[in-house]
Amino acid sequence: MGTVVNGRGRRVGEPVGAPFDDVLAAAQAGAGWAAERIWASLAPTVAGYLRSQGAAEPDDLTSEVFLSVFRSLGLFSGGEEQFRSWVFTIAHRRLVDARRAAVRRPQPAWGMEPADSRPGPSAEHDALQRMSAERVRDLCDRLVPDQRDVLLLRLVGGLTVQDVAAALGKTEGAVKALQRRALIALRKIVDREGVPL
Amino acid sequence: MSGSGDYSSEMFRNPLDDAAIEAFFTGQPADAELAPLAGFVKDLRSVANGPVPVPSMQLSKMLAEGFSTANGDLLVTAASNVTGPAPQAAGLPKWRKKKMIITELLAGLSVAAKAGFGITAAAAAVTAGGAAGVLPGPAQHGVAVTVEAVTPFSFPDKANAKADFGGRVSTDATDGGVDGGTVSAEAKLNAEAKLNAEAQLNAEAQLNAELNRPADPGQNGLDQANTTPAAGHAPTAVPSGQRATVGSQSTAGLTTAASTPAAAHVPTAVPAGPPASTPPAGAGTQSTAGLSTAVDTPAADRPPAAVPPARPGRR
Repeated sequence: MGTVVNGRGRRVGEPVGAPFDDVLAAAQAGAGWAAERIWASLAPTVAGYLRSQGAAEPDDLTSEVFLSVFRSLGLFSGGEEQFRSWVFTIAHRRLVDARRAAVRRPQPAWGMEPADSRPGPSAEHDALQRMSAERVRDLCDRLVPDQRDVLLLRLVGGLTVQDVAAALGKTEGAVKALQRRALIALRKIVDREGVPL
Repeated sequence: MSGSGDYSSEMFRNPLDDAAIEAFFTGQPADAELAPLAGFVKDLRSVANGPVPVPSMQLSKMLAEGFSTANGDLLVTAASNVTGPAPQAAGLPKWRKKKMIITELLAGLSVAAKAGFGITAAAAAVTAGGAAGVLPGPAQHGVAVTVEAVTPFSFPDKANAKADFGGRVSTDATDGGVDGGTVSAEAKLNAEAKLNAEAQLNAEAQLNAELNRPADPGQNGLDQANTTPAAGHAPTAVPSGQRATVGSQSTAGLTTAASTPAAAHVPTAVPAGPPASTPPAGAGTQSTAGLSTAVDTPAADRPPAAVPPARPGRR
């Protein structure tokens, strides 16, 4: 399973396969196969975003996100990129809800897990992937939350500045300022600490 | 996965511009300033881009069975309600319902309609205030002028009372100054008018008092006599009053009595009273005069032989 990059250089994840409009219409009519197609196309990226954000149970939270998506599918109208932005907006809001719930009921297991906990092709591969996950998690944790949200929605979700602004309820100018500060902060950390890889 | 040389330790040399940042996020060749972060981006995408997660049981059932309404899936019910939540069984408080109705009503209006609604409400408030005369002076004047210009109604306007004065002051200021003679004459006229008004009020008050005073006592006496059991014997007229001496009153009384049905028993004469300059008579003198008077009455044959002494404590 690989990712694709559209004409504007954005990662759009696994393509739906059939024309998106047909899949969307079938899903809105309640067709299970269409919902399955949407799930397979977007669930990995959504889970990755939630994992990058440090969600405790990213897979369970991903399922909840898509339950919300399918329940309110009749409200959506637009193209594939708008649909992707809409799904990530829901994902971010469910993440915020989960964080608030975690504050009320603190859970010990809060952190970034490797993308795939299942055994990899080799022990070395698993170790390197775990180290990468920990390093990325450490860097993201050192960013201001707003900067981290913008950075991850842009890099993992592939959202535009406009989409991120809509998802976070901010202006485009604010999003641009946040992403600039996030990159500068990351660069300073890397320059200062010379993160070993 | 990035190598150890991917994260550089060099500091920024140039400020980042928007184009470079956008290129970085869209996966295009990064600016030299952002190149050290390429390894971080690669690791991030590697961590985030995993296999398809395992769906939850609820989602698995939904994906397998779809959105069919035939088996009464809860999700189908939820999906059919995507246009809005079901109304609450307990309902909302009345104030909340009213607020929601107003909010929805206003939300359904266009911007122009909202602006018109606001302007109309403000105009209505100002007009109502103008009709009540509670607006500040300049505002009241403006509203009164406007309303009187476009409607047949007239609004209270305190400014009108001072408008002439203001205009006159303005004229005085532009035509060479205040005319002292005119001001003095006006003041004098005003004072005289005030005095005349007060005098007229006093005269009217006095006239009212006269009209409200009881009528001629004699006439009242006759009226009241007619209401008594002896109404048939009451005199029909009262001679014109004479402010006179005791003697003349007595004579007039006899004359009056002679015109009554009891004329046959009227004494023929009244003894003359003491002169006005004479001090009041004592008890003995009065008693004697009474006896003398009694002798002249039809009951002259039964006068008391003597007047009993006055009882103590009684005049």
